[in-house]
Amino acid sequence: MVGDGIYPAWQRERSGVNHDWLQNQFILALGKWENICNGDVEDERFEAAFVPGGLRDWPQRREDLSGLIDRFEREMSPIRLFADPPLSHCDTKTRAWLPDLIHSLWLERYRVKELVFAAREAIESADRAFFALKRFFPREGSNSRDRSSDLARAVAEFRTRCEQLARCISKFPSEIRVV
Amino acid sequence: MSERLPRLLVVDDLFGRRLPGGRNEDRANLCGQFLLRDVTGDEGGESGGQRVRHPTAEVMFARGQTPIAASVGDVVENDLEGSLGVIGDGWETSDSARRWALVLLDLCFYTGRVTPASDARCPGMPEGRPQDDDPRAYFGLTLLRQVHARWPTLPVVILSSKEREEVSREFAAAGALGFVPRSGAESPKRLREYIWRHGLIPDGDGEILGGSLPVLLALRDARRAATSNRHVLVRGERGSGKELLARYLHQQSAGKGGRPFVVVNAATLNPNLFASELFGHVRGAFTGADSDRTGCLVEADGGDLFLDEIGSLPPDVQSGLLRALDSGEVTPVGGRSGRTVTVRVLSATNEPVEARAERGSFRADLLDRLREGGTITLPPLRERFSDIPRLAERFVRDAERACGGMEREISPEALDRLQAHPWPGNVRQLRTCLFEAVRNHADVEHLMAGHLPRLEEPPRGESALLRATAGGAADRGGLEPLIDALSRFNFGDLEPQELMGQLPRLEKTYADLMARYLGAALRTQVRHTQDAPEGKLLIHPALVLATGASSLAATKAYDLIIKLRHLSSDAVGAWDRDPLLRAAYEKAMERRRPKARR
Repeated sequence: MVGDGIYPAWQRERSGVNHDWLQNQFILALGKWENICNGDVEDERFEAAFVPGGLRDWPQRREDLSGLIDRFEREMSPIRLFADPPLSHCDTKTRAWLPDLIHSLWLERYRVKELVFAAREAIESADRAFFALKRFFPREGSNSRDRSSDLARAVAEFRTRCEQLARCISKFPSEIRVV
Repeated sequence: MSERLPRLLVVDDLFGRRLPGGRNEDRANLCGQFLLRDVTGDEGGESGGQRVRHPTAEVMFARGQTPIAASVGDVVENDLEGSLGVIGDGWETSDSARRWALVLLDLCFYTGRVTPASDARCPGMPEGRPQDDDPRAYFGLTLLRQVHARWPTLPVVILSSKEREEVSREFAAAGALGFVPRSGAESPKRLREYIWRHGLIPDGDGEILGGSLPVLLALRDARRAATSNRHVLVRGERGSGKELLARYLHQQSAGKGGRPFVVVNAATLNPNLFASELFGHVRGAFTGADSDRTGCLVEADGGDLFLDEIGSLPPDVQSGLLRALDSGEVTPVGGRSGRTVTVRVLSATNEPVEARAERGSFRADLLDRLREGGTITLPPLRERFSDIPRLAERFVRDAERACGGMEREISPEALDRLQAHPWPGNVRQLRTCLFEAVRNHADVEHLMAGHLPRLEEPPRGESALLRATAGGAADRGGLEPLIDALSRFNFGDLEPQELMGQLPRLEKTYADLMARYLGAALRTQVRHTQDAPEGKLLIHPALVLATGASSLAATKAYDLIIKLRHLSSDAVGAWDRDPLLRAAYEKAMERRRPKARR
């Protein structure tokens, strides 16, 4: 339900990193790489560019994703609505208890802790799969011509973990919702 | 082996954008992940050097926005009319090789200015505006609603990285047939399944020739019916290929490979032997039964029984068949115990069995059983004229092989004549006609109109509209008899079952009629001058003539052409066949299209 929410900066950032980069670019590239490893697709340009380039974006991008997950509770809580009218007009006595209550209800209502926990788990799983895959490319900038089924499996595993991560991050509410 | 790959259209801002001087890596990755062959043609080949070994489909990409190639500083806006134009170009065509088998539509299209930051993140993509990401305002849904309103039979599937749950109600309500996530290990498989289940694709084995829309829809119905083991009724006029369609359905069924396909034509059986034919008999069951005989239902165990002309089944056999279908047990005539069988019955008829069931001369409960897996209607040949050239080519080649004649070309005049005949005997009659033509003129290099045997007009009992389809209605007393017949036709006289499902055919027939009327009006307004010796088409005067409205504005005239063309998406063949109609429509669309587009 979209409701009368607000589109905050967190949501814009999620769009950029989870939707545009992870789902539309990175996971698709991994899917194609898997097909290359399996001999279904030929694309020398991809192999020359992705392994030394796009794949090695992961450590930086996982930091962006991790930051996004960490900031969710702070940036998307309805407690932020107290910064602007009409809730900013609440008297001090009310402000002493109402924001915390709303925040607690919001955490419960949207199972925020569970969402955050699942996303952190997913990012760690993706990390493990990345490092397993990286073992096939020991040197910085190396480009493997390896067509082994082990490599295909490692790519598939990393892709699956990235997909799980993308799904976890997609489950976070896209608006600041009033409980 | 597949005759050719299904042709898909993807409307998507990310994958449809053009990058001057470079390849769209995101598009190449999508094609590499889904095993698609990019035929957009804007990057010097298949996604700029990528090669897919066994592609699932060939695919064209459209951005759905302007400009298609955007640079820093450009403002990207959604382009509804342009998108509809691209979709329509590949749908309203009689060239089956160009028709979309399936359209894949993105949901969220990002608009706004391309900034250095957005371009660095993703070349050619804009920053986006808040409403772009609002599921209530997705441009993909707006486009989908327009597409569904304009071309209800065009199959559209959503291809998106958005959460399915977020928009499933909206896309289903707007007419999409399914949802394929962009990423996901199962997504390529799901796309292949959707192409098979929802796509309009010809028979890959080439047994059922034709790429016209009515044929593709019947093939799709057959594939969908093939997913269950329920009995299916095939309707169609004589000679329209009901058995071929039943065989196609059989072959498309998972697990039916190598399973029996048994054919029984009820109309050719001795009425006294019906029960024996279907259920078998034991020795001594009746005079002449000197040995046990296995019936067709048992022969078809584990597979399909094609039961043609079910209207000919006598009442006692109807009861026996119903019992066998209900219980799954077949008892031979004269036998005491039966045998359990698993048979799917693919029955066929060209009779109004529904009306007979209403009147009580055919068992309604049996009819319900026979069509529990659906009813598939095969179009008559007069509703698929665009298939005649390919059918003619096949039959002439077959006839040359059978009769030992030399290979020949079919002249355009002969094809015109074949396409002008209403073919009451359908494909079978066309085949007979061409075999006769080849047999009688074995040593010619060109099959001319004069080589065709005399094509008889359908009998008087067949409708005036049928005769009119063949051309020449006007020379039998002008328009008045036609208008009179149409205005007096009383649908209330028909049985309820005869009314069933006729609206699409009526719409198509009306749209065809209007197309021919407009075509005739256009033909009167071709002027041959010194500047245009081949003839210049005067569209506005033709519309003034057709409407009788001397004050008709040119804009209105062109709008009227577009309106008439869109009366029925199933009637576009009439427009594509007539060069004057085609030219008028193209001119009308050209005037409507914003000049700045592309």
